[in-house]
Amino acid sequence: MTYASYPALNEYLAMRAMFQYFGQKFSDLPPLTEEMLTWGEAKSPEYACLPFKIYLGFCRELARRKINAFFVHGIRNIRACRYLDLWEGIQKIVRREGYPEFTVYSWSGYGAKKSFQILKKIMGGPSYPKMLMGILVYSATLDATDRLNDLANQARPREVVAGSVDAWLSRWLRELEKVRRWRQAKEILGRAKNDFGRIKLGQTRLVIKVALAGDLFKIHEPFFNFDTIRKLNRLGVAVEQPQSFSLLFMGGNKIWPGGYYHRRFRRYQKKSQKYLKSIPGSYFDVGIGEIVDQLERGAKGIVHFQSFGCMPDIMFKPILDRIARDFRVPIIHYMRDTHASDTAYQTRLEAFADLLRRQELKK
Amino acid sequence: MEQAGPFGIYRMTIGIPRAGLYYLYYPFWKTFLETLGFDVVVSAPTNRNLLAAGLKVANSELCLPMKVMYGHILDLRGRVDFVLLPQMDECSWGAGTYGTSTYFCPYFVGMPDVMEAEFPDLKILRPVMSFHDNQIVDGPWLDFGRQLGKNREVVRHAFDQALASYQLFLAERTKNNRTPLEILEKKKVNTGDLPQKMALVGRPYIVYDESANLELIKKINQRGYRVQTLEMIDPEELRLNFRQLPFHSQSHWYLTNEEYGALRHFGQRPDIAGIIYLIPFNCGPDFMVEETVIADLRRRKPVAIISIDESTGEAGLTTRLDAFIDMLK
Ligand code: SF4
Repeated sequence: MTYASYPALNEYLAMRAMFQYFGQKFSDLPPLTEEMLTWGEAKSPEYACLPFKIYLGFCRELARRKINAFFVHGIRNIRACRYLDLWEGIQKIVRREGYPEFTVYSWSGYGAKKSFQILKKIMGGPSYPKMLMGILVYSATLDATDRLNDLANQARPREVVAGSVDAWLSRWLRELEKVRRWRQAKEILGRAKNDFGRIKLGQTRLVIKVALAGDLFKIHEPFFNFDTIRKLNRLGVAVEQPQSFSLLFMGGNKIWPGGYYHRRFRRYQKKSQKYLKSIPGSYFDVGIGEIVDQLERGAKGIVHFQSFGCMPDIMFKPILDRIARDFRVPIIHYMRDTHASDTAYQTRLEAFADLLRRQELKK
Repeated sequence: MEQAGPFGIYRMTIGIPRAGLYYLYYPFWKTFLETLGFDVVVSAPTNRNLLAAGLKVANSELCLPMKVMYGHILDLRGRVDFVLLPQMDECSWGAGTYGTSTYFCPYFVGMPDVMEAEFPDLKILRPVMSFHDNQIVDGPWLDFGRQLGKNREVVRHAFDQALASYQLFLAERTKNNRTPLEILEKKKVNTGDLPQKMALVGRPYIVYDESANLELIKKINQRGYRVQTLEMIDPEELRLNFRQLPFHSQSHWYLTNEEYGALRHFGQRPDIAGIIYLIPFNCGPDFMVEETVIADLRRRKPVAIISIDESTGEAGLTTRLDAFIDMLK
């Protein structure tokens, strides 16, 4: 059986590494396309959110390629969001559309015990120590992927030769495809960091930082968010990748209690408390806390990327407005629906970056 | 609770929006607060002005029930000391049964936070409301009562009283076959000679809000059908019904599962001529109901799905209803 997952920020590489560690096959993933979205939209229930539509098209493409097992990341039980119903709904529709074998394995939402049972079943019954080691391989690769993405996001606004940062990033992400042992992920990360020194970065350019807000799926898939981070980077705006899977998986599941991600996760939860006492969906609390943290560390504005039909996003809006008021920073809310235009979004980001730059220069 | 004011001592008033989960838990909330010594004020029934006020401030992408909720909060703003907006939490099920937790819609979970952000001047009381095996969990209410300055025994007594009136409300619905509209709003429903029965399934705050649903129950009655709703079914019967769905088809949403249960229940009843499933436009949790239950149900029973939002007009709704009733004949 060959497995697949969703592409989000190349974090599927962690999944691939874990499958390789257990000697299982993990497929190359096709890129998300407009065609998938169109198909997904045509087959989705009326009120499905945008991620549902896109991933439905994506899963059908996998099924067409005879990849019938889909594995979902093991992040914390996403309380009140469609997350869990979403994958089950997708499975139902893909099966109905002529691929009865297509099965979604969700590694989250049912607690640690069930997650281990699922893992055991899929990986051919390894022992518990072996499963723990598999999780270590997954975690180390996740960490390496997210750190590479972070380095690239910070460097891109300053790159002297256009495209040099992305060339560096894709080279080292390709290296991560080979990971089977956790040490390998660490070694690759170390070598990538050394290689990073060779990229020419201009130190004089005024780089402004903004915080990117939104629900998990959108801010993780460049296809959804019209590649917001790269767009902002090209406008000289630096962005930290929010809600990375390393943070959510290692921090949220306390993989290393007291470790880096767990501390960060707790810090964000704490920082969200002024604005939030409930967790109305997805990683709402962590998302809000992360925005507050970034503003405290000098971010000068907030970009809120929403998608049509996303309930957590709708609720994010008034809370983000309140945060923006408290920190006296500008905010833009951008809503993507199926027919949204990339160009219109680019224009809004340019205007926003201009505003931030003028504000900075005035100071 | 009493407080000194310019004209002497007065009792604090707590406002409850006549919207959202009011139709399910009002007897509990009211009894709890009144037993603790507060005055309870309910917002006005939904009307055109109230809805217009809600639509003006609410995010346009919200579902109709939430826009209505904004209107009710605005109606209470300025005329009560506090507004009660419980934070709806987890509904857990005992081990060996469903085995996992279900949730309320995110709007009900996060509403107190959102309203605090929207209306900084609004004083909100936000007890946590969670359930275990369909029973209201007492702990958060005991904590809430103590935060209001009451002692342990008084709060325990208030909780017991509140639970008793909630049980009475449940019994009145299921044993006497009455809708929350009759019990809470004293409205006349299903009166006169109504030879046939029609099931109306949907979220209580859209099924029973006559203004938001353009008096759908009355319209069904006028066409000779007695209306049967989800709230008239015994909760245990609902649960047995949705549990018969394959595990992966059961929802992670508490009220959606109840709808699944009700749709299946009505689908098996020979005395039900047809089922209307009323869905607010853009309702997130209910987005899979058609795929999961209704597609299958249609093989056994006529089902009409009526979607509703603020732009739904009298004429459109009537035409839709009449077409469905013609089909039943
Ligand atoms: S369950 Fe649906 S109708 Fe009810 S508040 Fe949530 S989105 Fe709106």
